[in-house]
Amino acid sequence: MAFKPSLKKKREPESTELNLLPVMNLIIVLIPLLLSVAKLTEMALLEYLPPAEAAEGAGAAPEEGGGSGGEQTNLSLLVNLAETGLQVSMFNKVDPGPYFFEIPLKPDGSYDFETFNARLWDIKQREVGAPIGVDSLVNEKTGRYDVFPVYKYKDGREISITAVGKTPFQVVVNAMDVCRYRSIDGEKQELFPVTLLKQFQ
Amino acid sequence: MAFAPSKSAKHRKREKGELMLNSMMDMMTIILLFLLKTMGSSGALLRPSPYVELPKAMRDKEPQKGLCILITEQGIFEDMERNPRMLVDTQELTDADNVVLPNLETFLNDQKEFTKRLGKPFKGEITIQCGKEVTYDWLLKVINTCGQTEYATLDFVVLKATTS
Repeated sequence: MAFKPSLKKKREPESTELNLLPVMNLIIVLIPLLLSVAKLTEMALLEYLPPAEAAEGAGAAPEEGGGSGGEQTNLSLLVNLAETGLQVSMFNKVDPGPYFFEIPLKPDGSYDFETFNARLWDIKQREVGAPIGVDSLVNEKTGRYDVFPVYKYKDGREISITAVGKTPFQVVVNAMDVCRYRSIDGEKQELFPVTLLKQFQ
Repeated sequence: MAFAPSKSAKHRKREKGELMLNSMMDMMTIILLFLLKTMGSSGALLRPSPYVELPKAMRDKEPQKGLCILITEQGIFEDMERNPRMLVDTQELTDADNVVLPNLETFLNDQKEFTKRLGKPFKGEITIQCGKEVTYDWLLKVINTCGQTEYATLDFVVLKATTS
């Protein structure tokens, strides 16, 4: 008599799946924790140095105005956020001409920062020119040397900003941003990275 | 004659009602990695105040926690996690005769003295969270006051702008 076929071969293999529930529990706890500390809005610092400190940091002389010996030592670049537009002045000039001009407001009433940025680039090329050397200064915060270019004008990296009293801080910050760099072919070209805030004249 | 009992029905196994967690695990892992990447140490050091709407700027310097004040359209406050203490009210800020803000000057001098009493070097650094709608004349008064009290390095907290 033949034996009855064994039933063992029909036994299904036991499940080899991982028990993921503990891992899931851990992740469910971790996600709210990380969400609470995540910096979804990235912050940065806009460092502002008062004029005397900035002049020292930029390697410029703290005094303003042109040189008394006939040779111009300071550019004295200033932008005024006026009610009618952006007034740009160099060498402390206030008469319309190559060293004092105004960029009118855009039709929507906002400042034309694009044109202003282009004009600053023009000033940088035409008036300031290429660097004549480099200088370095110890950064007290980092303890490292900050290397910066030196131009024929002592304040060749500086621009003063003034604004009417009711100008919002965001507009002033936008102006400071525009003064720092110009993007050419995707590359940042330095304009006047040292921005000083001054009283409206 | 009775029918033989059905073998198929007798041996049919009940299907288990297990959840398929694999896809959920994948999703959770991606979220976890994303959050771990976005989490930075600076986020825990300095938080934007809920009382101030910060301006946007193209800066990349990491914020640091130091002596911090808030400038809002309601006045100047000492930066605290909850219930910030008012230092200067709008009346003092709008007063045209005030080039330097007396109450802020007193506060900054007290902080300077406190730092010196603790034996720490006074660096003259102050972090300012200034609302984007705060006007330039108020800002200049704060800058003047900080200058008067030997706070020479002013760091304004801004939100990083993404476009250049």
